Amino acid sequence: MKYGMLKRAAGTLLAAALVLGSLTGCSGKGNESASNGNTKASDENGAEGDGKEQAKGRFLEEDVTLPIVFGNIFDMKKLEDGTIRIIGINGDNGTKTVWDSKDLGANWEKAFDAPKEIQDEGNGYVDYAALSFDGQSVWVYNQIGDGGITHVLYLVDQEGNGSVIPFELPAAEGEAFSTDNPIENLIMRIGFLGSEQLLIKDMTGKIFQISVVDGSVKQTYDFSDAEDAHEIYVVGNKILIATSSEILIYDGETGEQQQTEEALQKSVAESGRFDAVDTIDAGEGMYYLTSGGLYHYKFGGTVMEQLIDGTMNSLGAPAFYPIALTMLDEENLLVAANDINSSSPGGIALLKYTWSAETSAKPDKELRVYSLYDNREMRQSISHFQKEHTDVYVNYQAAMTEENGVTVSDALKTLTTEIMAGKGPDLIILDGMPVETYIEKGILKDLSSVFADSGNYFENILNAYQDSQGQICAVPARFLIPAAQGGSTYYTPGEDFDTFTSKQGVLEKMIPEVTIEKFWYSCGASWQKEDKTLDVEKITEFLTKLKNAFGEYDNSTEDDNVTKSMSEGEIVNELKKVSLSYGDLDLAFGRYKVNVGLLGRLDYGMMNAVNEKLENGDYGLMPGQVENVFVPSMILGISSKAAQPELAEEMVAYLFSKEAQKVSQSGGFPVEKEAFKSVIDGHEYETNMDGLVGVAGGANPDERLDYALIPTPEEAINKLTSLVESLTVPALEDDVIKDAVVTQGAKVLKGEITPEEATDAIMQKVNIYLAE
Amino acid sequence: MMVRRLFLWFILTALAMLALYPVLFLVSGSFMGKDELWDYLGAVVSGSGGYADFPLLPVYPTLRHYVQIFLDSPEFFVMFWNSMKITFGVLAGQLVIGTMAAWGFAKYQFPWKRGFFLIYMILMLLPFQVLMLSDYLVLDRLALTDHLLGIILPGIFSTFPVFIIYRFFREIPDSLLESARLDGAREWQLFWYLALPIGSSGIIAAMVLGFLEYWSLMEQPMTFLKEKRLFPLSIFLPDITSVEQSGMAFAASVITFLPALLVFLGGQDYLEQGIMAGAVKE
Amino acid sequence: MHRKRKGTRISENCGKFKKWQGFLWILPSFFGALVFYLLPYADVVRRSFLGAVDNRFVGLVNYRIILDNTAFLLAVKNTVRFTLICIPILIVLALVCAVVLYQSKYGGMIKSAFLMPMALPAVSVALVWRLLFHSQGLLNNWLEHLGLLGKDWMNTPSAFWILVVSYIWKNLGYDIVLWMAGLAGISENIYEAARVDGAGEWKCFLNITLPNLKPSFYTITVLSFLNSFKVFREAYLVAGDYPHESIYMMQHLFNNWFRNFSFDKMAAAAVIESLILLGLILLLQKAWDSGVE
Repeated sequence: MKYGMLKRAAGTLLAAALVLGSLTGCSGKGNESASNGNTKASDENGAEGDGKEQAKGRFLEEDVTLPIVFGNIFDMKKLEDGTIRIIGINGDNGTKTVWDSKDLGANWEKAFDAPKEIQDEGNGYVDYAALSFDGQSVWVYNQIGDGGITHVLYLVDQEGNGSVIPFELPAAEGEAFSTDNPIENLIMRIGFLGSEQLLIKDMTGKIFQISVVDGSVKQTYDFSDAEDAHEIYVVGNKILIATSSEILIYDGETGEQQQTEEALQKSVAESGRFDAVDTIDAGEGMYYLTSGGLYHYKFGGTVMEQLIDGTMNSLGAPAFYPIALTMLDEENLLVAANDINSSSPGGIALLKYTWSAETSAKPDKELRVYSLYDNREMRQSISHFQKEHTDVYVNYQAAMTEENGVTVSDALKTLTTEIMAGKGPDLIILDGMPVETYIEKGILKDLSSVFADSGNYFENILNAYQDSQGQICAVPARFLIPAAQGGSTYYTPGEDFDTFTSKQGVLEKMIPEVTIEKFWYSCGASWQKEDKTLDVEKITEFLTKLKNAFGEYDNSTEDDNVTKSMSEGEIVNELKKVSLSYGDLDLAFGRYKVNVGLLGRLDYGMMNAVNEKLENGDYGLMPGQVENVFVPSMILGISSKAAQPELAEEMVAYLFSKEAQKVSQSGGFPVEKEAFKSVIDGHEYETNMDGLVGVAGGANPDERLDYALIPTPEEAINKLTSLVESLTVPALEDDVIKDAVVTQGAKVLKGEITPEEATDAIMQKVNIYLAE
Repeated sequence: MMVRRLFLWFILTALAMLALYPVLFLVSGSFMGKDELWDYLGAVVSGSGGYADFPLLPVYPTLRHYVQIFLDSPEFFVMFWNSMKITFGVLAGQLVIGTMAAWGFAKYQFPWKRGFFLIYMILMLLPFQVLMLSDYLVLDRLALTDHLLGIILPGIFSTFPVFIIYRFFREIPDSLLESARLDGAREWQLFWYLALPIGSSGIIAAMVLGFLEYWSLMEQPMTFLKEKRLFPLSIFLPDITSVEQSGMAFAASVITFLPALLVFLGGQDYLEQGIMAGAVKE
Repeated sequence: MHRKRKGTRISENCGKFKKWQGFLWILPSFFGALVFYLLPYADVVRRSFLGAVDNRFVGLVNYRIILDNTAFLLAVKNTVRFTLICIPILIVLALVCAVVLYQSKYGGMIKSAFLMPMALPAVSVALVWRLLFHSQGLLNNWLEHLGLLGKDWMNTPSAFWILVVSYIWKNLGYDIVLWMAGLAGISENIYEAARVDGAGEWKCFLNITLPNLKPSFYTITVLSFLNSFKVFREAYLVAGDYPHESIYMMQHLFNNWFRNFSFDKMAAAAVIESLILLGLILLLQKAWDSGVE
């Protein structure tokens, strides 16, 4: 008995020694990689021992080249004879047109253009159209006449002969509309149920099931009380009403509601709203797309089968909106989608997915990308990157989501532990992180080799974090410009901080916190002295002058703002608050005298529109204690402990390619010059024949700002470009200092404390931080 | 004399009320409706004008937040069970490992005993942050990160219960053990039949303190757990800056507080008998 | 197979092993402590001589750096100040309460009230604290009703005292229980004998109660000290990474160093801190040993 205990003790001690050994092994770099290799090898051995091989087979995505540029696609179906038919609008001339492919999407030819009644652009427009499986189509033509907008339904047969379906929606009840443009009711969705009947949703949410022959109503489904918007899908003879939270099923013949299917409900809850649906077995089962990918479901079943994982291709990209899903067979499918970031000019993309039995189910290599805040440009680029590198799975993790409530500090601590344990990300988007500290501590790898054969970049931006030895450990892929705009009464472009802030009350009515934060960007970079401590005088000056420009604080205006945003239950995200466009409408409608903020690509159009409305409106760099400041954004860095450094470099190189630089959501201007031009030149409006106007409206319904969507004039492009080229100083990115300045500074603007008191409080906090 | 007594009592009662105030505060807040909370706390939460105010009783009591937590938040139950697993996992382990070690320290002699005990004391007092990174590396080696065991195992080997129980076992007279040995009892029998029954209140005291400690554990789960489904209740704090959630935060606080309170009040007597037994000398 | 002999006789041939026999009881615990605490600690000691990320050997450089580091010195100062102020207050206050409560039959109820804060989770405490001490919070509201001017409590030196109060608030009940248990251990006979000799209440307290509580004092001090570290949770949840300088504690510094990959400094500071702890424990133990005699 004693011996047994002893033996066990020896065993445990031995185990302790082993652990100790492996831990110290961690210290030497060589050892570390060796032990990593060991774990990998043993994993593989384990798999072999089980007699299993890595699962093979995956759907691969490819772009289908269409013969014309579609301005829009309304519907796409595989007809009963095997033809794939698309109905849409020719983006070059606006013709409503029908195209066929006899070889499953490889080659396309025009079947016919829609009848001339539908083509008439002078008196109306086509909103919706749909296809049936036998090749007929129905078009909703909204006729604009003296009595307002009336809808006409055209049925177009297989050969292109049109006839009007005699059907009119009942007038919507209780909906008030402006008198100068009376609308009684509108068709909001349309689709075929079989080839004899149509489903039409009106603006009140009612769904009418009508005959195509005489327009008689067979059934009505009333969802006018539903809070949630809903979509109609037809699978065989079932009608599916899909909302973001549930799927209701109706029998298309009897109109009876059928039992809800648990598995479907669960699927909606887990993977989100259905975007497109198709069937290949007459409604026994269905295929559907969500942002999670492609799924298959057999009615009456209990599980959904995920066929395509959306994170590995375009399906999960943030700006990807599927229009139609067409299953060619079980292993091939087409997806038509609205995708602003696709390579096709009009933003309408046709993608083909093909089952590849040889490709491993999950890509062999994994590139881990990490950021604090979700970066939509990154998400978009990932799906492009993966398409080109089918052996790579990019695992992108944004630490701080709305629901998890993690603080920056906690997220960074977790990141630290993971990097130190060698389990950290390969590529890090450094926005919101202490970039300088990371560079100093050697967390980030030198990237200069990636940019060795330099492309056409704004070098001044690209080299924001270049150190004295020419190393670039972090590089911004986008940037924002602290800018100011206003009419000539209050603002002259190019004026300095002193002149600007000497105008008492020029910043009045702004939100204190946001105002301080905006000027932090244009001033903060001048505060740090040689010895890294902060310059007290500069900060006092900053606060004193801003207070003068801000004038008296009137807290009644702000209460409204706060109450409003609170009652809507959402907090406007921080980035948006400091953006220039946040104050655009206030400037346009006279609440603000000037507008300041960060100028990015999304703000550019609005800024010009507002300047046009103002008397002598113009813009320039935001006055500040430092001149020529820019704010680096989407700052990329590769971890020095990355498991896949080469792949990460490849990704960085890709992110700086023209294609990826053009990807634009909300993150700022591209650093690549050609991409920069293409996001501001308004080329997408060159084909804008309808004279479309953009409309911006604020909380106040009377305040509407219409602006023409036209290509940007050459001199405007040149002005912005030379402005960008003049930028030299990256804004100080340090959340600890910024938070302290914003908190205390806001109190100064509100008149609660003096600038000197605030400076003391800031220094007190920041000094500890800098001393660490 | 009587006046002084009364005065002392008055002060004590006042102090007790003061101690209780935050508890009442939370309980009362958890029964307030969304709008009521917003009226009282708007000033702090959103920075709008005026001051926060807080009556001790809700004007329009509602069970809404509790309903919301129990019916609409499945993740709350997951967290609750995680807390249960962590707490009882650790306590069960400490019950075995900790009592044995305490018994060893209390009643046996071996070389460097004082040294070992000193190490135990230092480990007990060492703040978590000191060992954070290295702890993580060890757990990572053992593949215990992102696993409840990564929280439970280090908890089991915490030296705190050893310290508490040790002082208690010391009180068992050596003469009792000697006579038991003379009667033929084996060492494990001494432990089983003498130490455990006599020391039960001390052990329970350690367990009660352990319960509080692990029920409200924060740093370890925050560092070692990444997956949300593993999070315990103690790190669940709904965002009070949004009106939607502040009521939930109050209700969640109360629900988290209740088990700890029950255990604490229930174990109070043991706490008294247990903890001090070791320190009181004839 | 070796069989345990009765009695205390030690068989000569296995004397060496016999010496360690008691250690078997501790072995499982010690093994776990080795893996989960001592091993990491050894790693910390090792790191204190290395560079932060590159793991170069740098000797005592890290120690020199932190001893010059104003943030470190501030944190040490604050931590020491906090401990020196709040532990004596807590212990004395708890003793007074315990003595009063012990003599009464309603003491139990009040004692339970004092105990409740201890069971309150840190996040909830932080929630209440934020509402109380905010510049527009409840405390300032009350002060205004009394015609006094409030302030932004957490951003002034008052933050330190708030932390002291919250520590005492949370631990008072616990310490009262400990003292009461100590009081219960004093035999009633001693008092009676003293009273027969004509000693007054105060004299009894000084000459009988206090000396007999000396052993309890050791445990209470150690436990109070242990709990004083936990106040960081509330401080952190209420005031974040960079609180007012008066409540910037060692753990804040460790946390911030950790986040910024300053493992070199962190490890050196950890070693220093554990040495201080060692000294303190030895000191306390000495005091205790003399108390036992």
